[in-house]
Amino acid sequence: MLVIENLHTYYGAIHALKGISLTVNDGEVVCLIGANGAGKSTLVNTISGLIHARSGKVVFQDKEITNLDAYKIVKMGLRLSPEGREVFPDLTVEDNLRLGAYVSTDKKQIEDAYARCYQLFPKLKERRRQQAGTLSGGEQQMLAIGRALMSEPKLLLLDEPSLGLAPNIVNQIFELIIEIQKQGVTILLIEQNANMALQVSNRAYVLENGTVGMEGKAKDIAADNRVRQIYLGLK
Amino acid sequence: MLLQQIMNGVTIGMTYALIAVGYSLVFGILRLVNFSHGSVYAFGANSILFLISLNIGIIPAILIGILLTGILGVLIDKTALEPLRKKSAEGITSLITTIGVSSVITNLLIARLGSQKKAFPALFPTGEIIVGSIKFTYTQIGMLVISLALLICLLLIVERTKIGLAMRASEQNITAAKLMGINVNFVISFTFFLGGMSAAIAGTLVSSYYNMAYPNMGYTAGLKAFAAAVLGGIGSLPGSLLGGLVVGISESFAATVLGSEFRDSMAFIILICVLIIRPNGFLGKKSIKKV
Repeated sequence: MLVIENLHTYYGAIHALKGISLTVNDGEVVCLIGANGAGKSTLVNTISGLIHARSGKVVFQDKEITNLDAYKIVKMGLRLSPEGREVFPDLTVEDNLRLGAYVSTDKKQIEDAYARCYQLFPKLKERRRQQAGTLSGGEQQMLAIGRALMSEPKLLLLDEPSLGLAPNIVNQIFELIIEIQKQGVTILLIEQNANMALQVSNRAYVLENGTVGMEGKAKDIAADNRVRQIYLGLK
Repeated sequence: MLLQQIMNGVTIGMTYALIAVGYSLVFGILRLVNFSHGSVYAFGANSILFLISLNIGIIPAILIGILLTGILGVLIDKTALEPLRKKSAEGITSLITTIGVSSVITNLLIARLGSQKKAFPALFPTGEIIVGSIKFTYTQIGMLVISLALLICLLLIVERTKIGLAMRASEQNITAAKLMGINVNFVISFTFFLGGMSAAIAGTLVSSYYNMAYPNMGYTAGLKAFAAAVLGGIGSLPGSLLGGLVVGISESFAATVLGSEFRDSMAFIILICVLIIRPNGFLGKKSIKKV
């Protein structure tokens, strides 16, 4: 599904990604964990075309997408639900979702997407005429995810979906991730909440200072002593 | 007398509103005051006058001129502003660029057409309708109808179409808009196109109203329309209409009550007074802040 080879990205003079290679296979949930500043968001922003890589390759479904414009990557079926949710606050929930389906041209397909989304997030249906800025943090996160699913992406990048949410909402979000995977969407998950992320993922990568420090099955990573100490806060 | 002044002010105010929407739409998305807009307006009127002189018929000349002016708007963005966005230049760089572009366009017009004022044909038949004490000339009625229709069209485009939704999304958050699969550069070009076309239509109406066009005509009109856009709340289309009307009516009164030499300063006197009380204009949002 997604293959990244030796990716280097700079923020001005800062060398943020120093040769990252990773793979996401069809149907998997893969998580990226790592401390603040390890390069997690830089990586997903580079994959989705928001920032440009200096060198290296991003291949999505056997097509190279390195440094393509972000909107073209969306059209190909790779979507990012960004950190901080980034819903359009002054637009209604419905308009936000309509924008999620911006690349779809088929009316029927868009109707179906609304129906699927409202089934997954009944709260959004209740609030569909409300401005997105008036939703709670958890609802905005659901809107952000629902919006990204509107165009039926093959691969969904989720950047910090649990950030700033109450613990019971965090649980809901992780249940949703499993549900979305069941619907056939491959997921690359970025999380500070390493504990939860490792529970819902098949495989995991640990980013450290812009490089891949460790990779493997999620349960092996979760059992690793160093990971337990640094990222899971366990002894 | 009073009503007549209001009527005259409304007529010219509508054309300010048409120019103001160009500032407002572009500012909404780019947070940039496009100071080349006044020269685009002048280009519209002067190119249409030139096309009319080619004897291709007045309506085709106007339509081609409007289209060309829209394209000029796109060209300004593509050649001068988009490269700056790609390099993530500071806002002030783009601002200075638009001032530079304004000079270039005005100078090209002067070089090609000469700086003198030239007669612009009347677009509407002469004649008037008298209702009570107010006199409506056909020209005024035509200007009102066309301006209002155009403003309604623009509002419908922004509020009811897919590209309009993309414009509103880009206005709120450009990065998120890209993540929706919106080609933001296309949306920006489209916005410049709409702004250019509206300015050309305003230029034609005003030139026909005063029976003249000249390359420097965009300077004062551009500044007044900018004042109208800020007065109404920049970024808001209804705000542009309201701002345009306030500027038009107030300068019409200023010319009658205080003398015609006060006409051009009135827009700015009102602007300063209103902004002290309502810093975001009549219909502006509380604060325009990027998330």
